[in-house]
Amino acid sequence: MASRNEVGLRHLRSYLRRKSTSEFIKQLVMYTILAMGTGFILIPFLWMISTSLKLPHEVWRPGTFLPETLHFENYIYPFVILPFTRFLRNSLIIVALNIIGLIVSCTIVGYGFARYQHVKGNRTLFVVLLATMMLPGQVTLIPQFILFRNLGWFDTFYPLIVPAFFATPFYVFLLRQFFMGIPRELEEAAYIDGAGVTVIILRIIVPLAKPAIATVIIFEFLAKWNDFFGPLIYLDSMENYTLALGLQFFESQYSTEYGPMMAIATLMMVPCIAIFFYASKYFIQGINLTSFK
Amino acid sequence: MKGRNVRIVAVSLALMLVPVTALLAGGAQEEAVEEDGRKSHLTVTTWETTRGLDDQRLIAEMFQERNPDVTVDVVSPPGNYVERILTQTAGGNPPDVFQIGDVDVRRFGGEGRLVDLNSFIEADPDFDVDDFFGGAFEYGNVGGQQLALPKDYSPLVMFYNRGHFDEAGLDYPDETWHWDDLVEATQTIVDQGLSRYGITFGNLLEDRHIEPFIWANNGAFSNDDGTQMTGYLDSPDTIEAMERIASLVFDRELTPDVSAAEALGGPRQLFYDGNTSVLFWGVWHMEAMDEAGIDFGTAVLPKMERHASVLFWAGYSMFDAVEDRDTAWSLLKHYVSTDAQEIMGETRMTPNRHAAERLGQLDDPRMSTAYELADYAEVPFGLKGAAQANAVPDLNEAFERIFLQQADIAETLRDTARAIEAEHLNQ
Amino acid sequence: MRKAWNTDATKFYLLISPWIIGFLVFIAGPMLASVVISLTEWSLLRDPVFVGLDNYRNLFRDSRFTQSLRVTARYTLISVPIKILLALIIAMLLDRIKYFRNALRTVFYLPSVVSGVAVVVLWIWMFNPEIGLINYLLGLVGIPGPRWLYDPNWALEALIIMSFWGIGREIVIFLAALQGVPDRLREAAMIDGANSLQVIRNVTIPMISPAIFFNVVMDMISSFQVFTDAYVATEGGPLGATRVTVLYLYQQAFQQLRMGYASAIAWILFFIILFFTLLVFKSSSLWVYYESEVKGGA
Repeated sequence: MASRNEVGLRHLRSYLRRKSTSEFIKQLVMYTILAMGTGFILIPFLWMISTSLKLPHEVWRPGTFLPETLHFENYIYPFVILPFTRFLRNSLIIVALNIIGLIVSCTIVGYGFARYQHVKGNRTLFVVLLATMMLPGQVTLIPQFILFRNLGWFDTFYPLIVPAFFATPFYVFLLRQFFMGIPRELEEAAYIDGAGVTVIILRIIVPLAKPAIATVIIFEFLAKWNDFFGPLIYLDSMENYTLALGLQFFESQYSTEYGPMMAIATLMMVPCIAIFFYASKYFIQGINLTSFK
Repeated sequence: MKGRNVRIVAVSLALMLVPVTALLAGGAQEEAVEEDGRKSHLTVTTWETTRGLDDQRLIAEMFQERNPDVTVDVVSPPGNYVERILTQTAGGNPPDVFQIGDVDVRRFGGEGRLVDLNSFIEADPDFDVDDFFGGAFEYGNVGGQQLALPKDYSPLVMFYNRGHFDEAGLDYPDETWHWDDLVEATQTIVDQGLSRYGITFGNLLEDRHIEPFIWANNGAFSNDDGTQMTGYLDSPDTIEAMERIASLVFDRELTPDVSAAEALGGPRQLFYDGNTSVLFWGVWHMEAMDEAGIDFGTAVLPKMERHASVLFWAGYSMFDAVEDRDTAWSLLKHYVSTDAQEIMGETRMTPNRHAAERLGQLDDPRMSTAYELADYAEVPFGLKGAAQANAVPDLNEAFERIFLQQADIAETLRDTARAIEAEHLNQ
Repeated sequence: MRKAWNTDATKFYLLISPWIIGFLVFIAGPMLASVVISLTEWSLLRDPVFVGLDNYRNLFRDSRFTQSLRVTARYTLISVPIKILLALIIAMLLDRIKYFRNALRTVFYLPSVVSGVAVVVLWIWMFNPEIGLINYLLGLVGIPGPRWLYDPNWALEALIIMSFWGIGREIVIFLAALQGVPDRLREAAMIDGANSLQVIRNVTIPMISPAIFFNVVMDMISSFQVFTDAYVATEGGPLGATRVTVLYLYQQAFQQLRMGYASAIAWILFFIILFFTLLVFKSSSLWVYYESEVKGGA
C-alpha cells in the first residue's frame, strides 16, 4: 500500500511540474489557432456590416472595404415603412410558445427513448423518428399545406406553433444523447425512495441536463426567429407576418438591394447574439452541476 | 399482450383519421366573406415591390372608387413568386387576377388553368384591341387564346454613355451602325482609358440576351416552330455571331465575362459607374440611371445582316377558379386601361398607345427608341412551346461551356442541338 | 392489474406518446401523400394523373439525376468529416482556454445566427475571382486562385468551404457535452502519466462520443439535403457541378412543373439517407460510449 502511494505521489509531482511549465505554451498555441478561426469567421461579418452602411453605388466600388461616409438610413428605413412592432410581437409569440412546447415535449419523449432502450420497439420507433427528417421538405410541403388549410389553420399561428408541442426529432435525438450520458444510479436511488417518472425527470434529469436544455432553447430561438419558410407558406395577411418574413420585402424579385439586405441581417442578428451570450454564461454554470465534484 | 397491441393499432388508426380526413376534405373551408357590404372580393397578385407595388395599389383604389361593390387587395408575396402561386394553387387557394411572365403564361396556359379572354374582348364594347401596341398585345396570345393582357414590356435596347462618346470625339450610335462600327468605337473609348469595358451584355449565360444578336446575323436557335435545332443552332450564321461575341470577351476583352461583371456589381452597375460604354438592357431602370447621374442615350441594337431585338414581357391573367369572372374581367381591363397605364407608365414602357401618348413617351428620344425596337422583336426559342421552355436550361449550358470554359463554339452548338432534340423535341 | 400498468413498456409508450400522436397527425399523412404523388404526373395546376412506377423507371435513365446524386455524395462525404473534426478541435480549445471564453464562443457561433440568403451573398463576394478576399489572400502567398463558382471543377469545393463557416451548431453541442466530462477523469489520467493527446483519445473522445454520434448523423442528414447554398450561389451551375439532388428536385417540381417526378426523386434520396444513417447506427456500438449503459447495465 505504502509503495503504491509513493508511486502515485511521484506521478502527481511530475504532473504538476509538467503542467505549470507547459501550460503557458499550450494556452498560447490554443489562442493562436482560435485567432485564425476568428479571422475566418469575422471577415465576412465585417464586410456585411460595412455593406449595410453603404449607399447602393458604393457597394460595388472595388477596393473600398469601408463606406465613404456612414449611412444609417438602411437601418431606419425598415422601421419607417413596416409595422415593425406588430411583426416583432408576432415573432416573439411564435418563438416563445415554440420553446415552451419543445422543452416539455422533447424532454419527456427524449427521456423515454433514452431510458427504455430495452423495451421492444424502441429502436425501430427511434429510426422512424429520425426517418421523418430524411424526406426533403419540398415534397411534403403541399400535402402539409392542404392538411393545415383544411384544419382551418391557414393564416393563423397554429401551423407554426402546435407541432412543437408534439416533439421535434432533432431535439428528441439531442436530449436522448445527453440523457443517455447521465449515470443511472442517481435515478435508481430515487426509484427506491418511491419517486415516479415525473418526479425523476423534474428533480434529477432536468437539473443535470441544464446545458442540453439551454442548447435546445438557443437553437429553437434562432431557428424560429430566422424562420422565413414556415411563415411564408402559412401566413397570408400582413398583420400576421413575422419579422423574418416582413423584412423580405426588401428583396424584390429582380433587384436585390444589398445595403438594406445586409442591414436587416445585422439587425436580426443582434437579439440572437445577446441571447447566445447570456446562455453561454449559463453553460459554464452548468459545469458545477454535471462534473460531480 | 395481444389485447394491448390491438388497442395500440386501433388508437393509431383513429389518430390517422384526422390528417386523412383533413387531407381529403377539399374545400371544407370555403370562405364566405362579404366585407363591409361589398358584393365581390378580388385579389391582384404581383411579384413587384416598392414603386411597382405602390402603383398597382393606386390603380386598385381607383377601381374601387368606380366600382363601390367590389373590394380589391393587391398582394406581393415574399419569396419565390412562381413557387408561391403553384403551392397555393395546388393547395386549393389559387389567385384571382395575377401578374404573369411571358414563359409562364405559356406554361400555365398549357395546363389549361387560365381563362381565355377572347369572349370577353369580343363582348365588351369598351375594350378595343387597337388601343394597344400590336406586338405587346400578341404576347398574351397563346395558340389563338388570349390568356393575358399586357402589363408592361421592353425590348432589349442599347444604352450608351454619351460622355464616353463625346470625350472620344465619336458620333453617337444610331440605326445605321453595323456591329463592327460599334466594336471599333468602343475599342477607341477603352483604348483612350475612358472606360474599363466597351460592350456589356445583360447576361451572357441566358438565351434571351444572346438570341437577338444571332438573329441579327440571320442565324437562329431553331426553325420557326422550334421543333428542329440542327441546321439552325449549328448553322454557320449562328456560329459566326457567337464567335463575334466570344471574341469580345476573350480576344479584345471589350466585354466583361460573367465573374468580372459581377465583381463590378453586375451589368447595370457597370453602366451606372461608367465602367462600360454600352449596355444591352431593357428600359426598366431609366429613373435609376438618371439618379446615378449618367448622361446616356438609347439606340437600336447594331445590325449585322439585319436589325433584330427581343421582348421581355409581363401581363395579367385570370385564373379559372375565379367565380365572378365578369367582375374579374372589368378589373383586368382596368389594369391595362389608359388611366391605369398612365400611372404605371411613369417608370417604364406601356403597352397602351394612349397612355404612351399622354406621357409623351413617343416624343422622348430615349423612350421612342424602345417603342421602335419593339417592332424588330422576334419570338424567342423559349416561348415556342412547353418543350422548348423546358429545353432552355440545356441551351444555357451551351453558353456556360462557351463563356466559362472557352469550349469550341461550333462543336458545342452542334452537340447541344442534337442533345436537346433527342431529349426534348423528338417526342 | 396495477402491475400491468407499471411495466417499462407502458411507461415507454406513455412517455413517447406526444411524438407518436404528432407523427400520426402531422407527419405521416403528408409523407404518405408524397408516396402517392410520386406515382403520378402532377403539374400542380391540374389534377394529378396516375402513372404507376413510370417516374421511378425514368429516374434511372436520367443522367442529370445520377449526376446530382454524385454531386451530393461528394459534398456530403467531404464536408461532413471535416466539419466534425473542425468543430471538435475548436470546441475543445474553447473548453480549455482561460480568458475570453464567452466572447470567443459567441464569435464561433455567430455564423449560425445569420440567416440564409445574406450569408450566401457574402460568400459569393468572398469567392469572386476578381475582387474576392479568398483569391486575394491566396495571391499573397503566391497561389493563383481558381475561378471558384465559375469553374465546374471548383464550384462544389467553394460550397463545401462555405459550409465550414457555419459549424456553430456542432461546436455548441460539443461544448455542452464537454461540460459533462468530469475534470477528475482527465486529472486522473494526467497523473497516471498520460499526455494531452492520450487524454483526449482515451478520456475526452469516449466521454463525448454520444455528441459526436449526434453531430455525424444530423450533419449527414442535412448535407444530403443541402439546397439553399446551391440555389442562391450557383443555381446548380456551372454545368451542373453544384446541382445537388434537392436542387434538381426543386427545379423539377417548381420550374418544370413535374411534382410527381420530384416526389420520386425525394423518395430515392430518402432511402439513400436512411441507408447511410443505419450504417452509422450499426457502427455506433463500436465507438459510442454511454455512461448509463455501462454502469446501469442495460
